[in-house]
Amino acid sequence: MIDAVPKFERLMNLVAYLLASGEPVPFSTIRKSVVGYNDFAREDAVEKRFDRDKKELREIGIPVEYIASDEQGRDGYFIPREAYFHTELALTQDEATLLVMLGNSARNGNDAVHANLRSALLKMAIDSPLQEEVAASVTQKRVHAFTRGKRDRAVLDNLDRLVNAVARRKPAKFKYKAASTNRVQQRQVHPYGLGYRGGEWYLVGLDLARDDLRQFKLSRVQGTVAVPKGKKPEFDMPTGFDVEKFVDRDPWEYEKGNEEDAHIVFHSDVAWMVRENLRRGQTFEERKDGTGVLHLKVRKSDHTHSKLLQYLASFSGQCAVVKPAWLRKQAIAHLQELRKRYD
Amino acid sequence: MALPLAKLRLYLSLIPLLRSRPGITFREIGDHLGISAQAAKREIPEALMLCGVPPYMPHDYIACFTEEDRVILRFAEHFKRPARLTMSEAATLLLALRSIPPARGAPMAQAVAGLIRKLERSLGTRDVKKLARRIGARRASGTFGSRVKLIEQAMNDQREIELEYYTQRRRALTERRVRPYALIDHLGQVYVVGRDSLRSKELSFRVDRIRSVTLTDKTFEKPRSFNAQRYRRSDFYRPSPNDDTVRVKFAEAAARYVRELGPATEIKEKAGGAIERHVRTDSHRWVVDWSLQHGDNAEVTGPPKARREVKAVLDEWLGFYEKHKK
Repeated sequence: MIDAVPKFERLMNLVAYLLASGEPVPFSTIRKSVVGYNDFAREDAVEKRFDRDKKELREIGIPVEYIASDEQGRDGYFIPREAYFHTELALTQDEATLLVMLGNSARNGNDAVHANLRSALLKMAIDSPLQEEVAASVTQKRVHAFTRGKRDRAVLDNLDRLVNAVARRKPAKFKYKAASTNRVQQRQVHPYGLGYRGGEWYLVGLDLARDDLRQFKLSRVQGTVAVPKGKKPEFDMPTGFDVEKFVDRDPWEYEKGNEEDAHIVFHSDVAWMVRENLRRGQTFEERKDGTGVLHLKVRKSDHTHSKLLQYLASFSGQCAVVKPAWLRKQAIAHLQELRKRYD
Repeated sequence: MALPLAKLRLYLSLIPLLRSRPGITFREIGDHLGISAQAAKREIPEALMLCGVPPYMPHDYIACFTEEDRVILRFAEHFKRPARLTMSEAATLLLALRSIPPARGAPMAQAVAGLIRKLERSLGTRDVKKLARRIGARRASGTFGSRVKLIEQAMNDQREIELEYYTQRRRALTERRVRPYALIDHLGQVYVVGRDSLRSKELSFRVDRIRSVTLTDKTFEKPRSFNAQRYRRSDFYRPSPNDDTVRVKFAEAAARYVRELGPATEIKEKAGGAIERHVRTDSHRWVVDWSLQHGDNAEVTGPPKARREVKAVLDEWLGFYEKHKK
């Protein structure tokens, strides 16, 4: 009999034993033979320890199960191998390269997102066809950064909570500073999805107080997102929800109201860039002189004007709104007004 | 997660990898764990030496042999594969995969799609399929991927490429000849980093501003001193001593957005919630465009040369309107 076995060692021994035995093992056998349970403690104390361990193992995805009577009439605990073992993946060179690239980007983060990512990648590494030298050369050819490192620490902590809330359909509660009002308000949201756009993470979900689907930029969340514990889902997903439909929209598409056709002409030096970046519902007309016209839908509002202007400023001096007339007029008046400031 | 559980999760994944790759180096293990090779060499044999199964005969314990910088594991047959991905791990992996710029047609984009399909099979199709629609990213343009593919080929073959590149500061297409060293995905934007042969220096080029890529027959050798990891940093732009400082004043309505942007260069608070931001830059042009993006909520306040540039851009812009009435 041995006592004071460290918890890590005890859990390793239990998992190893249940995987190795291949048949249900009664608690009495575990109690007698597995180091970490075969000590001098009282029976009920060891049983409690075992119950706690089972629960914790299940929390990290290890399916410790109990059967009252199997085909041969045996009872006890077991880990079903088919449910435990990670399915063998035949990774291609490119897929393995991708995993090395992600592993490299996950190497230094101390937050839960990076820890989960490292753990997932470690499980998948067994199926990688890449030799060490090849894997090392990948890190000198491809670099991937999807966070701003330490500066994104708060965002990453909340991202981890929200990815779990999304996966388990749990409501999320947080304080949010809306950019439109600059006010911080408590939000309660059914988180439907997470989207990535321009280096920023967004939560898309049903804002319960407003009874409306909203997007929340994670960098504007103040403090910590609260997500209730437990596995039972607490809301239903709307049928056909696809987060990409939200993150793929341009900012001037959020407006409600009647749509109008807009035409914007671009200089030949930049027209190709616009043509190659057409979004859903947009078309492009090429002209003989090399210029091109972007056709898109807009809705009449100040918001449309300001958001579209933001987009057009990245082509400043090389584009012009042709129609609708109200938008062209507003754009020209706006540029003339700005021009006066610099006289 | 409590420390022993986190450690357990790690070792249950690590042991199958060590079993499958006898002689794996501590450096590679360290890379997987996010620790140094020395730390891996110190921790792993110690952690595993008392793990075994009843009746705890010598061969019932995991045997861990180290040879200089390599490790061999024996008697761990029951840990032949790692545990399945948990939902959190799968969802986080999905997050990371979605953050890779989806350059359609590029090998990496196909690999992302392939991996998601394999994840679906591994975790249970229903769960991940549902999740895959709930974690997403903005879609990419059509021809972006074909350019990435050519650049990847040039990097692998170490061949120079000719680029037709839109230079923002000149607002014109320029011809470049580049030795491509690495592709960097930085917060959703893809850059090719390499030596610009005509300018004789290492530069980065945004791939979405490359109009065309042509592979040449001229080969090169990547300098040993090149380190792609230098580009893995919070802010892609690296200030130089020759930079100028441009001052931009933002009204309160824009200030709240501008504060969110990095790097946190000097910000001076002004009356009514306004701010003045001092931006170090090697090109006035992008600061001018940036200020114009904020419309009448932003004004370049100095230096005078930068103000003259804004005026010139606005004149040019109004001229473009005059010229294009339909």
